[in-house]
Amino acid sequence: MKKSTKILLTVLALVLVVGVFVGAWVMFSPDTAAGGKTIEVEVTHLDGKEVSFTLNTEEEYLAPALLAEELISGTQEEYGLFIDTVDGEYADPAQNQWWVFTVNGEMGMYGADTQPITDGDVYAFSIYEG
Amino acid sequence: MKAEHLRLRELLALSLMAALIFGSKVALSFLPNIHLGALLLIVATLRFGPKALYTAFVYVMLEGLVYGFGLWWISYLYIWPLLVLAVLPLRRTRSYFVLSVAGALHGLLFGALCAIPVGVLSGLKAGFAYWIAGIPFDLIHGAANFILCLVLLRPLDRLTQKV
Repeated sequence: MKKSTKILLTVLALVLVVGVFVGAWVMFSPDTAAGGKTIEVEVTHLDGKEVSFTLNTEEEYLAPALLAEELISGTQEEYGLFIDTVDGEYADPAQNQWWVFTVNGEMGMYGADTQPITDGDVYAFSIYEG
Repeated sequence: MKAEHLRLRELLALSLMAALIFGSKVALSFLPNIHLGALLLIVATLRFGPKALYTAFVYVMLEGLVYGFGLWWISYLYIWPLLVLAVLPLRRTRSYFVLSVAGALHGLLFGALCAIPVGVLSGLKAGFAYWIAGIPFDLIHGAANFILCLVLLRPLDRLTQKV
């Protein structure tokens, strides 16, 4: 087999892999929903205090909805928004404190800025230490 | 005596390569999934052969010591050595294009390989969702590895052959 043919086949194989990846992402990534949605946000603070918020939003992703209500703040990192403050409580990474959230009782697979919102969702934020 | 001296030199070079991979990754951390990790590990494999596994494991240990031994770290234990094992059969050909494709595939498959422990611990559905969520980053990772390898692999390989 000619060297140029080998290179062509290698390029085609690579393009095929990229095509499969893009196809999988288009087919299986969760859809966003336009229009008004009502969501529940539950926050468990470090002292155990639990606070609940009901939000009406037209945002399609979680982070913009929570930022608009000033419920969270954080810094934009390479993989998206890193939430360090929820409901006024700062999680200090130096003390191994982190905010995590669940979506309808299950661990979220997305960051807050890529988590699609659907009407009736319940998001539970908890601060973890250690 | 001479052989021992050479081994020590190799040990130092392999450790420095690991430090270089880690340092370059930190330096480029403001860019999502664009770093010199795969490129430098391929260079180490071309120069040192199977001994580059040492570089891979030292680098993985550095990652764990600095960022903590989370679930992601478990996947690093096989993701980086896998690149060394994949490059070993290509070592003699010195086809920098094919090696660049290997680097690209490593970047593309990075998320899928990271998803394995998630799938084992949280179920296949969770592992699949984890992979899907990371595909845009995998595409960037693959493209960046391909371009970096295509441009820098040949000069870096020639440079390290002199060491």
